[in-house]
Amino acid sequence: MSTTETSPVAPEVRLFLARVRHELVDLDPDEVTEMTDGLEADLTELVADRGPSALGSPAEYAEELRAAAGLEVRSPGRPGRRPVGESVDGLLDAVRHRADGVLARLPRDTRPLLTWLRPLWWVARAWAAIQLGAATFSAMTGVGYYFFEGGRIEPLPAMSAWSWALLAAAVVISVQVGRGRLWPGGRRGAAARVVLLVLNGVAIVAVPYLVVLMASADSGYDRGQDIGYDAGYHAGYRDGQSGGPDDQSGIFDQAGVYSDGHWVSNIYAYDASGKPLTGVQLFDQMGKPISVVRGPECPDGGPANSVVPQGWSVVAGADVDSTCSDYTALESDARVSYPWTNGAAQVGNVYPLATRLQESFLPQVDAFASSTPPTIGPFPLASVPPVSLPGITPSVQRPAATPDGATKGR
Amino acid sequence: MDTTQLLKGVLDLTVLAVVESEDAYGYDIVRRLRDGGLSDVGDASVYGTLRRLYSAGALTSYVVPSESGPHRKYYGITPAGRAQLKQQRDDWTAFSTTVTTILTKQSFQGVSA
Repeated sequence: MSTTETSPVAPEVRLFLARVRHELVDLDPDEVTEMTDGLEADLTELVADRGPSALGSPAEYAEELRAAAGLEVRSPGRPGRRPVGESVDGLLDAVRHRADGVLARLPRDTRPLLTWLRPLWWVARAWAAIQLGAATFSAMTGVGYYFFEGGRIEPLPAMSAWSWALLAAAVVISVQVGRGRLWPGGRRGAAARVVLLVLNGVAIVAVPYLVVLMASADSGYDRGQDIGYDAGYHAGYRDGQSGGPDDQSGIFDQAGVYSDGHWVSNIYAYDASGKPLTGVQLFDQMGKPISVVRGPECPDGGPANSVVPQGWSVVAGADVDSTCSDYTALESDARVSYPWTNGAAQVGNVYPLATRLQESFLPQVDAFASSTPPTIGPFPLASVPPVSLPGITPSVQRPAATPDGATKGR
Repeated sequence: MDTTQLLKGVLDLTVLAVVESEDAYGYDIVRRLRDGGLSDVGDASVYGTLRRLYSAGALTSYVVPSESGPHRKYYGITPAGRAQLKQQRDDWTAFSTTVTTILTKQSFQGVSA
Protein backbone atom coordinates (compact mmCIF):
# COMPACT_ATOMS: atom_id res chain seq x y z
CA MET A 1 0.00 0.00 0.00
CA SER A 2 1.42 3.35 -0.95
CA THR A 3 1.21 6.29 1.43
CA THR A 4 2.59 8.99 -0.79
CA GLU A 5 2.11 12.46 0.56
CA THR A 6 -0.58 14.48 -1.20
CA SER A 7 -0.18 18.01 -2.47
CA PRO A 8 -2.26 20.96 -1.25
CA VAL A 9 -5.61 21.23 -3.01
CA ALA A 10 -5.50 23.37 -6.13
CA PRO A 11 -8.13 26.16 -6.34
CA GLU A 12 -9.62 24.77 -9.55
CA VAL A 13 -10.14 21.43 -7.81
CA ARG A 14 -11.89 23.14 -4.91
CA LEU A 15 -14.18 25.01 -7.27
CA PHE A 16 -14.84 21.91 -9.35
CA LEU A 17 -15.74 19.85 -6.29
CA ALA A 18 -17.92 22.62 -4.87
CA ARG A 19 -19.89 22.59 -8.12
CA VAL A 20 -20.09 18.80 -8.23
CA ARG A 21 -21.39 18.74 -4.65
CA HIS A 22 -23.84 21.43 -5.54
CA GLU A 23 -25.13 19.28 -8.39
CA LEU A 24 -25.80 16.55 -5.85
CA VAL A 25 -27.70 18.71 -3.34
CA ASP A 26 -30.85 16.66 -3.77
CA LEU A 27 -29.10 13.64 -2.25
CA ASP A 28 -28.67 12.89 1.42
CA PRO A 29 -25.80 15.13 2.61
CA ASP A 30 -24.10 12.16 4.29
CA GLU A 31 -24.26 10.23 1.02
CA VAL A 32 -22.68 13.15 -0.85
CA THR A 33 -19.96 13.47 1.79
CA GLU A 34 -19.17 9.76 1.59
CA MET A 35 -19.16 9.72 -2.18
CA THR A 36 -16.93 12.76 -2.64
CA ASP A 37 -14.68 12.17 0.36
CA GLY A 38 -11.04 11.97 -0.65
CA LEU A 39 -11.69 13.48 -4.07
CA GLU A 40 -9.65 16.57 -3.20
CA ALA A 41 -6.48 14.50 -3.09
CA ASP A 42 -7.43 12.35 -6.08
CA LEU A 43 -8.45 15.22 -8.36
CA THR A 44 -5.35 17.18 -7.41
CA GLU A 45 -3.34 14.21 -8.62
CA LEU A 46 -5.46 14.01 -11.75
CA VAL A 47 -4.79 17.68 -12.52
CA ALA A 48 -1.09 17.13 -11.90
CA ASP A 49 -1.18 14.20 -14.35
CA ARG A 50 -3.36 15.53 -17.13
CA GLY A 51 -3.88 19.26 -16.49
CA PRO A 52 -6.94 21.20 -15.27
CA SER A 53 -8.90 20.47 -18.49
CA ALA A 54 -9.09 16.80 -17.44
CA LEU A 55 -11.65 17.82 -14.81
CA GLY A 56 -14.30 18.49 -17.44
CA SER A 57 -17.84 19.54 -16.68
CA PRO A 58 -18.97 19.37 -13.04
CA ALA A 59 -22.54 18.62 -14.11
CA GLU A 60 -21.51 15.67 -16.30
CA TYR A 61 -19.14 14.44 -13.62
CA ALA A 62 -21.95 14.56 -11.06
CA GLU A 63 -24.33 12.73 -13.41
CA GLU A 64 -21.76 10.02 -14.10
CA LEU A 65 -21.06 9.66 -10.40
CA ARG A 66 -24.75 9.44 -9.66
CA ALA A 67 -25.40 6.89 -12.40
CA ALA A 68 -22.45 4.67 -11.47
CA ALA A 69 -23.39 4.77 -7.80
CA GLY A 70 -26.93 3.76 -8.73
CA LEU A 71 -28.51 6.90 -7.29
CA GLU A 72 -31.48 8.48 -9.00
CA VAL A 73 -32.43 12.12 -9.16
CA ARG A 74 -35.01 12.47 -6.41
CA SER A 75 -36.97 15.56 -7.34
CA PRO A 76 -36.07 16.96 -10.75
CA GLY A 77 -38.10 20.16 -10.46
CA ARG A 78 -36.96 21.33 -7.05
CA PRO A 79 -37.12 25.08 -6.51
CA GLY A 80 -33.42 25.56 -5.73
CA ARG A 81 -32.55 24.82 -9.35
CA ARG A 82 -34.23 27.79 -10.98
CA PRO A 83 -31.99 29.79 -13.34
CA VAL A 84 -31.91 32.83 -11.02
CA GLY A 85 -30.93 30.67 -8.09
CA GLU A 86 -28.29 28.97 -10.17
CA SER A 87 -26.72 32.19 -11.37
CA VAL A 88 -26.69 33.58 -7.81
CA ASP A 89 -25.16 30.32 -6.66
CA GLY A 90 -22.57 30.54 -9.40
CA LEU A 91 -21.71 34.09 -8.39
CA LEU A 92 -21.37 33.13 -4.72
CA ASP A 93 -19.29 30.10 -5.70
CA ALA A 94 -16.98 32.31 -7.74
CA VAL A 95 -16.56 34.77 -4.87
CA ARG A 96 -15.94 31.91 -2.50
CA HIS A 97 -13.44 30.44 -4.90
CA ARG A 98 -11.60 33.74 -5.14
CA ALA A 99 -11.55 34.11 -1.35
CA ASP A 100 -10.21 30.56 -1.05
CA GLY A 101 -7.50 31.51 -3.51
CA VAL A 102 -6.51 34.51 -1.39
CA LEU A 103 -6.47 32.39 1.76
CA ALA A 104 -4.39 29.73 0.01
CA ARG A 105 -1.70 32.31 -0.71
CA LEU A 106 -1.42 33.32 2.96
CA PRO A 107 1.57 32.02 4.89
CA ARG A 108 0.99 28.61 6.38
CA ASP A 109 1.40 29.69 10.00
CA THR A 110 -1.54 32.12 9.77
CA ARG A 111 -3.98 29.25 9.11
CA PRO A 112 -4.42 28.27 12.79
CA LEU A 113 -5.20 31.92 13.53
CA LEU A 114 -7.90 31.95 10.86
CA THR A 115 -9.31 28.70 12.19
CA TRP A 116 -9.48 30.37 15.57
CA LEU A 117 -11.14 33.52 14.27
CA ARG A 118 -14.07 31.62 12.83
CA PRO A 119 -15.69 30.52 16.14
CA LEU A 120 -14.74 33.89 17.63
CA TRP A 121 -16.73 35.53 14.86
CA TRP A 122 -19.69 33.23 15.48
CA VAL A 123 -19.78 34.39 19.11
CA ALA A 124 -19.30 38.05 18.16
CA ARG A 125 -22.19 38.07 15.71
CA ALA A 126 -24.45 36.39 18.28
CA TRP A 127 -23.57 39.12 20.74
CA ALA A 128 -24.27 41.81 18.12
CA ALA A 129 -27.63 40.20 17.37
CA ILE A 130 -28.61 40.38 21.03
CA GLN A 131 -27.50 44.01 21.31
CA LEU A 132 -29.34 45.05 18.16
CA GLY A 133 -32.39 43.07 19.20
CA ALA A 134 -32.49 44.74 22.59
CA ALA A 135 -31.97 48.17 21.05
CA THR A 136 -34.76 47.61 18.54
CA PHE A 137 -37.04 46.31 21.28
CA SER A 138 -36.25 49.37 23.38
CA ALA A 139 -36.75 51.78 20.49
CA MET A 140 -40.12 50.25 19.67
CA THR A 141 -41.48 49.94 23.18
CA GLY A 142 -39.55 52.67 24.97
CA VAL A 143 -38.78 50.48 27.93
CA GLY A 144 -35.80 49.01 29.59
CA TYR A 145 -32.72 49.71 27.63
CA TYR A 146 -30.68 52.89 27.50
CA PHE A 147 -28.92 52.17 24.25
CA PHE A 148 -30.17 55.36 22.61
CA GLU A 149 -30.48 57.41 25.78
CA GLY A 150 -26.93 58.22 26.59
CA GLY A 151 -25.16 56.61 23.64
CA ARG A 152 -23.93 54.22 26.27
CA ILE A 153 -23.76 50.51 25.88
CA GLU A 154 -23.25 47.73 28.36
CA PRO A 155 -21.57 44.41 27.52
CA LEU A 156 -25.07 43.01 27.81
CA PRO A 157 -28.47 44.67 27.67
CA ALA A 158 -29.79 45.42 31.14
CA MET A 159 -31.95 42.37 31.46
CA SER A 160 -29.65 40.50 33.83
CA ALA A 161 -30.23 36.74 33.90
CA TRP A 162 -32.44 36.78 30.83
CA SER A 163 -29.82 38.48 28.72
CA TRP A 164 -27.26 35.81 29.58
CA ALA A 165 -29.72 33.09 28.64
CA LEU A 166 -30.54 34.91 25.40
CA LEU A 167 -26.87 35.37 24.61
CA ALA A 168 -26.17 31.70 25.28
CA ALA A 169 -29.03 30.69 22.97
CA ALA A 170 -27.85 33.10 20.27
CA VAL A 171 -24.29 31.79 20.48
CA VAL A 172 -25.48 28.19 20.13
CA ILE A 173 -27.61 29.10 17.11
CA SER A 174 -24.84 31.14 15.52
CA VAL A 175 -22.23 28.41 15.99
CA GLN A 176 -24.56 25.73 14.64
CA VAL A 177 -25.36 27.87 11.61
CA GLY A 178 -21.65 28.50 11.15
CA ARG A 179 -20.91 24.78 11.25
CA GLY A 180 -23.72 24.13 8.79
CA ARG A 181 -25.57 22.02 11.34
CA LEU A 182 -28.58 24.30 11.54
CA TRP A 183 -30.38 26.49 9.04
CA PRO A 184 -29.68 26.64 6.16
CA GLY A 185 -27.74 23.44 6.76
CA GLY A 186 -25.72 21.38 4.33
CA ARG A 187 -27.94 21.95 1.31
CA ARG A 188 -27.87 25.69 1.07
CA GLY A 189 -30.26 27.12 -1.48
CA ALA A 190 -29.40 30.38 -3.19
CA ALA A 191 -31.96 32.35 -1.15
CA ALA A 192 -30.64 31.02 2.15
CA ARG A 193 -27.10 31.82 1.14
CA VAL A 194 -28.05 35.40 0.28
CA VAL A 195 -29.94 35.86 3.57
CA LEU A 196 -26.95 34.52 5.47
CA LEU A 197 -24.66 36.83 3.52
CA VAL A 198 -26.81 39.87 4.34
CA LEU A 199 -27.02 38.93 8.03
CA ASN A 200 -23.26 38.49 8.18
CA GLY A 201 -22.84 41.83 6.40
CA VAL A 202 -24.99 43.54 9.03
CA ALA A 203 -22.98 41.86 11.77
CA ILE A 204 -19.68 42.93 10.16
CA VAL A 205 -20.82 46.56 10.42
CA ALA A 206 -22.53 46.20 13.78
CA VAL A 207 -19.79 44.42 15.74
CA PRO A 208 -17.10 47.12 15.44
CA TYR A 209 -19.72 49.83 15.95
CA LEU A 210 -21.01 48.24 19.14
CA VAL A 211 -17.50 47.58 20.42
CA VAL A 212 -16.54 51.22 19.85
CA LEU A 213 -19.72 52.36 21.63
CA MET A 214 -18.91 50.12 24.56
CA ALA A 215 -15.26 51.19 24.69
CA SER A 216 -16.18 54.86 24.64
CA ALA A 217 -18.61 54.26 27.48
CA ASP A 218 -15.80 52.82 29.57
CA SER A 219 -13.30 55.58 28.86
CA GLY A 220 -15.96 58.22 29.43
CA TYR A 221 -15.65 57.74 33.14
CA ASP A 222 -12.01 58.74 32.98
CA ARG A 223 -12.45 61.62 30.60
CA GLY A 224 -11.55 64.28 33.12
CA GLN A 225 -8.30 62.67 34.09
CA ASP A 226 -6.32 63.51 30.98
CA ILE A 227 -7.49 67.08 30.91
CA GLY A 228 -5.91 68.18 34.16
CA TYR A 229 -7.37 70.17 36.98
CA ASP A 230 -7.87 73.60 35.38
CA ALA A 231 -9.08 72.38 32.03
CA GLY A 232 -11.41 69.92 33.67
CA TYR A 233 -12.59 72.56 36.05
CA HIS A 234 -13.35 75.02 33.30
CA ALA A 235 -14.86 72.40 31.08
CA GLY A 236 -17.14 71.52 33.92
CA TYR A 237 -17.85 75.16 34.44
CA ARG A 238 -18.67 75.76 30.81
CA ASP A 239 -20.83 72.71 30.73
CA GLY A 240 -22.52 73.94 33.84
CA GLN A 241 -23.06 77.29 32.22
CA SER A 242 -24.67 76.26 29.00
CA GLY A 243 -27.42 73.71 29.49
CA GLY A 244 -29.85 72.88 26.73
CA PRO A 245 -29.61 71.06 23.45
CA ASP A 246 -25.91 71.89 22.97
CA ASP A 247 -25.17 69.53 25.76
CA GLN A 248 -26.53 66.56 23.92
CA SER A 249 -23.20 66.11 22.22
CA GLY A 250 -21.41 66.32 25.54
CA ILE A 251 -23.70 63.78 27.04
CA PHE A 252 -23.26 61.48 24.11
CA ASP A 253 -19.51 61.65 24.74
CA GLN A 254 -20.13 60.30 28.22
CA ALA A 255 -19.27 63.60 29.86
CA GLY A 256 -20.47 64.23 33.38
CA VAL A 257 -21.36 61.77 36.08
CA TYR A 258 -23.03 58.39 35.77
CA SER A 259 -24.39 56.18 38.46
CA ASP A 260 -25.24 52.57 37.71
CA GLY A 261 -25.47 53.40 34.05
CA HIS A 262 -27.77 56.35 34.50
CA TRP A 263 -26.88 59.92 33.76
CA VAL A 264 -26.68 62.03 36.95
CA SER A 265 -28.11 65.52 36.54
CA ASN A 266 -27.83 66.63 40.16
CA ILE A 267 -26.40 65.36 43.44
CA TYR A 268 -28.15 65.44 46.80
CA ALA A 269 -25.94 64.84 49.82
CA TYR A 270 -26.93 63.70 53.30
CA ASP A 271 -24.82 63.73 56.43
CA ALA A 272 -24.10 60.77 58.66
CA SER A 273 -27.23 61.41 60.72
CA GLY A 274 -29.29 61.17 57.53
CA LYS A 275 -30.15 64.86 57.20
CA PRO A 276 -30.00 66.68 53.84
CA LEU A 277 -26.95 68.86 53.14
CA THR A 278 -27.01 71.99 51.01
CA GLY A 279 -23.87 73.49 49.50
CA VAL A 280 -21.59 70.45 49.43
CA GLN A 281 -18.41 70.81 47.35
CA LEU A 282 -17.37 67.55 45.73
CA PHE A 283 -13.92 66.52 44.50
CA ASP A 284 -12.68 63.22 43.16
CA GLN A 285 -9.63 61.23 44.32
CA MET A 286 -7.37 63.41 42.16
CA GLY A 287 -8.64 66.59 43.77
CA LYS A 288 -10.57 67.53 40.66
CA PRO A 289 -14.02 69.07 41.05
CA ILE A 290 -16.85 66.68 40.23
CA SER A 291 -19.21 68.48 37.90
CA VAL A 292 -22.38 67.08 36.49
CA VAL A 293 -23.04 68.13 32.95
CA ARG A 294 -26.32 69.82 32.45
CA GLY A 295 -28.29 68.55 29.53
CA PRO A 296 -31.74 67.80 28.32
CA GLU A 297 -33.86 66.71 31.18
CA CYS A 298 -37.51 66.21 31.91
CA PRO A 299 -38.97 69.63 32.62
CA ASP A 300 -41.10 68.18 35.34
CA GLY A 301 -40.04 64.72 36.39
CA GLY A 302 -42.85 63.15 38.33
CA PRO A 303 -42.55 60.48 40.99
CA ALA A 304 -43.35 57.82 38.42
CA ASN A 305 -41.27 54.63 38.31
CA SER A 306 -39.59 55.61 41.54
CA VAL A 307 -37.70 52.93 43.36
CA VAL A 308 -37.27 53.79 47.03
CA PRO A 309 -35.57 51.45 49.48
CA GLN A 310 -37.80 50.26 52.25
CA GLY A 311 -37.92 52.46 55.34
CA TRP A 312 -36.83 55.58 53.48
CA SER A 313 -39.08 58.57 53.32
CA VAL A 314 -39.91 60.38 50.13
CA VAL A 315 -40.70 64.03 49.68
CA ALA A 316 -43.91 64.40 47.73
CA GLY A 317 -43.26 65.10 44.06
CA ALA A 318 -39.61 64.15 44.24
CA ASP A 319 -38.06 62.48 41.23
CA VAL A 320 -35.99 59.65 42.61
CA ASP A 321 -35.31 57.45 39.63
CA SER A 322 -37.81 58.12 36.94
CA THR A 323 -37.20 58.05 33.24
CA CYS A 324 -38.57 60.84 31.18
CA SER A 325 -39.98 59.87 27.82
CA ASP A 326 -41.41 63.20 26.72
CA TYR A 327 -38.30 64.88 25.35
CA THR A 328 -40.36 67.06 23.05
CA ALA A 329 -41.20 69.18 26.06
CA LEU A 330 -37.71 70.59 25.70
CA GLU A 331 -38.84 72.54 22.71
CA SER A 332 -40.91 74.80 24.89
CA ASP A 333 -38.90 75.04 28.10
CA ALA A 334 -35.39 74.13 29.15
CA ARG A 335 -34.06 73.41 32.60
CA VAL A 336 -31.00 75.63 32.92
CA SER A 337 -28.52 75.34 35.74
CA TYR A 338 -27.11 78.17 37.85
CA PRO A 339 -23.85 77.08 39.50
CA TRP A 340 -22.83 78.26 42.92
CA THR A 341 -20.25 81.05 43.17
CA ASN A 342 -17.20 81.70 45.34
CA GLY A 343 -17.50 85.44 44.90
CA ALA A 344 -15.03 85.71 42.04
CA ALA A 345 -16.16 82.89 39.73
CA GLN A 346 -18.85 80.28 39.39
CA VAL A 347 -18.08 76.87 40.88
CA GLY A 348 -19.62 73.90 39.11
CA ASN A 349 -19.07 71.25 41.76
CA VAL A 350 -21.33 72.53 44.55
CA TYR A 351 -24.47 70.56 45.21
CA PRO A 352 -27.35 70.45 44.94
CA LEU A 353 -27.08 72.43 41.73
CA ALA A 354 -29.72 75.13 41.39
CA THR A 355 -31.82 75.06 38.23
CA ARG A 356 -34.90 76.63 36.79
CA LEU A 357 -37.18 76.16 33.81
CA GLN A 358 -36.94 78.94 31.27
CA GLU A 359 -37.44 79.62 27.60
CA SER A 360 -33.82 80.53 26.86
CA PHE A 361 -31.12 77.90 26.87
CA LEU A 362 -28.68 80.41 28.41
CA PRO A 363 -28.55 81.48 32.07
CA GLN A 364 -30.21 84.87 32.69
CA VAL A 365 -28.44 87.59 34.68
CA ASP A 366 -31.56 88.59 36.56
CA ALA A 367 -32.70 85.03 37.23
CA PHE A 368 -32.39 85.18 41.01
CA ALA A 369 -34.32 88.46 41.14
CA SER A 370 -37.17 87.12 39.01
CA SER A 371 -40.46 85.71 40.23
CA THR A 372 -39.22 82.19 39.50
CA PRO A 373 -35.66 82.07 40.86
CA PRO A 374 -33.50 78.96 40.40
CA THR A 375 -33.95 76.37 43.13
CA ILE A 376 -32.07 73.31 44.21
CA GLY A 377 -35.34 71.45 43.94
CA PRO A 378 -36.82 69.21 46.58
CA PHE A 379 -34.48 66.63 48.06
CA PRO A 380 -35.48 63.25 46.61
CA LEU A 381 -35.59 61.78 50.12
CA ALA A 382 -36.57 63.83 53.19
CA SER A 383 -34.04 61.91 55.23
CA VAL A 384 -32.07 58.69 55.03
CA PRO A 385 -31.08 56.22 57.76
CA PRO A 386 -28.12 57.31 59.91
CA VAL A 387 -24.81 55.66 59.16
CA SER A 388 -21.62 55.07 61.12
CA LEU A 389 -18.22 53.43 60.84
CA PRO A 390 -16.13 52.46 63.89
CA GLY A 391 -13.28 54.89 64.53
CA ILE A 392 -14.54 57.44 61.98
CA THR A 393 -16.05 60.64 63.31
CA PRO A 394 -18.68 62.04 60.97
CA SER A 395 -18.95 65.77 60.18
CA VAL A 396 -21.39 67.64 62.31
CA GLN A 397 -24.32 69.08 60.43
CA ARG A 398 -24.44 72.83 60.22
CA PRO A 399 -27.69 74.16 61.66
CA ALA A 400 -28.09 76.60 58.72
CA ALA A 401 -29.07 73.95 56.19
CA THR A 402 -32.77 73.55 55.50
CA PRO A 403 -34.38 70.43 54.11
CA ASP A 404 -35.98 71.98 51.05
CA GLY A 405 -33.11 74.44 50.48
CA ALA A 406 -35.16 76.78 48.30
CA THR A 407 -33.17 79.85 47.21
CA LYS A 408 -30.53 79.06 49.81
CA GLY A 409 -28.01 78.40 47.09
CA ARG A 410 -27.12 82.05 46.81
CA MET B 1 -17.92 0.30 -31.64
CA ASP B 2 -18.91 2.29 -28.60
CA THR B 3 -17.33 0.53 -25.65
CA THR B 4 -19.10 2.68 -23.02
CA GLN B 5 -22.03 0.29 -22.74
CA LEU B 6 -19.71 -2.71 -22.49
CA LEU B 7 -17.70 -0.95 -19.77
CA LYS B 8 -20.77 -0.49 -17.63
CA GLY B 9 -21.29 -4.20 -17.45
CA VAL B 10 -17.75 -5.02 -16.38
CA LEU B 11 -16.89 -2.06 -14.18
CA ASP B 12 -17.79 -3.84 -10.92
CA LEU B 13 -15.75 -6.84 -11.93
CA THR B 14 -12.67 -4.92 -13.02
CA VAL B 15 -12.69 -2.60 -10.00
CA LEU B 16 -12.91 -5.58 -7.65
CA ALA B 17 -10.10 -7.29 -9.55
CA VAL B 18 -7.85 -4.23 -9.21
CA VAL B 19 -8.21 -4.05 -5.41
CA GLU B 20 -8.14 -7.83 -4.94
CA SER B 21 -4.42 -8.05 -4.24
CA GLU B 22 -3.73 -4.57 -2.89
CA ASP B 23 -5.73 -1.72 -1.33
CA ALA B 24 -5.84 1.40 -3.47
CA TYR B 25 -7.25 4.90 -3.54
CA GLY B 26 -9.74 6.05 -6.19
CA TYR B 27 -7.42 7.72 -8.65
CA ASP B 28 -4.94 4.87 -8.34
CA ILE B 29 -7.72 2.45 -9.35
CA VAL B 30 -8.64 4.67 -12.33
CA ARG B 31 -5.02 4.70 -13.42
CA ARG B 32 -4.62 0.94 -13.14
CA LEU B 33 -7.78 0.38 -15.19
CA ARG B 34 -6.49 2.79 -17.83
CA ASP B 35 -3.04 1.25 -17.83
CA GLY B 36 -4.72 -2.13 -18.17
CA GLY B 37 -6.28 -0.98 -21.44
CA LEU B 38 -9.64 0.46 -20.44
CA SER B 39 -8.61 3.90 -21.62
CA ASP B 40 -12.19 5.17 -21.93
CA VAL B 41 -13.14 4.56 -18.31
CA GLY B 42 -14.58 7.67 -16.69
CA ASP B 43 -13.20 8.84 -13.36
CA ALA B 44 -16.65 9.56 -11.98
CA SER B 45 -17.91 6.13 -13.07
CA VAL B 46 -15.16 4.51 -11.04
CA TYR B 47 -15.88 6.64 -7.96
CA GLY B 48 -19.60 5.94 -8.26
CA THR B 49 -18.88 2.22 -8.61
CA LEU B 50 -16.61 2.31 -5.57
CA ARG B 51 -19.35 3.97 -3.55
CA ARG B 52 -21.93 1.41 -4.68
CA LEU B 53 -19.64 -1.57 -3.98
CA TYR B 54 -18.87 -0.08 -0.58
CA SER B 55 -22.59 0.30 0.20
CA ALA B 56 -23.14 -3.30 -0.88
CA GLY B 57 -20.44 -4.48 1.52
CA ALA B 58 -18.00 -5.66 -1.15
CA LEU B 59 -15.42 -3.02 -0.18
CA THR B 60 -14.11 -1.44 2.97
CA SER B 61 -12.68 2.04 3.06
CA TYR B 62 -10.35 3.97 5.33
CA VAL B 63 -8.78 7.37 5.30
CA VAL B 64 -5.04 7.96 5.24
CA PRO B 65 -4.14 11.43 6.42
CA SER B 66 -1.45 13.45 4.72
CA GLU B 67 0.77 16.04 6.31
CA SER B 68 1.09 18.17 3.23
CA GLY B 69 -2.42 18.08 1.76
CA PRO B 70 -5.89 16.55 1.89
CA HIS B 71 -6.40 12.99 3.08
CA ARG B 72 -6.67 9.99 0.76
CA LYS B 73 -9.48 7.49 0.88
CA TYR B 74 -8.36 3.92 0.37
CA TYR B 75 -10.50 0.96 -0.58
CA GLY B 76 -9.90 -2.70 0.23
CA ILE B 77 -11.81 -5.84 -0.67
CA THR B 78 -13.99 -7.69 1.85
CA PRO B 79 -14.70 -11.45 1.96
CA ALA B 80 -18.09 -10.66 0.41
CA GLY B 81 -16.27 -8.73 -2.29
CA ARG B 82 -13.99 -11.69 -2.97
CA ALA B 83 -17.00 -13.98 -3.29
CA GLN B 84 -18.63 -11.51 -5.65
CA LEU B 85 -15.43 -11.22 -7.67
CA LYS B 86 -15.11 -15.00 -7.97
CA GLN B 87 -18.73 -15.33 -9.04
CA GLN B 88 -18.52 -12.50 -11.58
CA ARG B 89 -15.18 -13.70 -12.89
CA ASP B 90 -16.66 -17.11 -13.59
CA ASP B 91 -19.72 -15.52 -15.16
CA TRP B 92 -17.58 -13.30 -17.32
CA THR B 93 -15.34 -16.12 -18.45
CA ALA B 94 -18.33 -18.22 -19.43
CA PHE B 95 -20.07 -15.27 -21.06
CA SER B 96 -17.06 -14.05 -23.02
CA THR B 97 -16.23 -17.57 -24.15
CA THR B 98 -19.77 -17.95 -25.43
CA VAL B 99 -19.65 -14.61 -27.21
CA THR B 100 -16.24 -15.35 -28.66
CA THR B 101 -17.41 -18.73 -29.88
CA ILE B 102 -20.43 -17.21 -31.58
CA LEU B 103 -18.34 -14.48 -33.14
CA THR B 104 -15.74 -16.98 -34.37
CA LYS B 105 -18.42 -19.21 -35.96
CA GLN B 106 -20.06 -16.22 -37.60
CA SER B 107 -16.78 -15.03 -39.05
CA PHE B 108 -15.92 -18.59 -40.19
CA GLN B 109 -19.28 -18.92 -41.90
CA GLY B 110 -18.86 -15.46 -43.37
CA VAL B 111 -15.54 -16.42 -44.86
CA SER B 112 -16.86 -19.77 -46.18
CA ALA B 113 -19.95 -18.25 -47.72
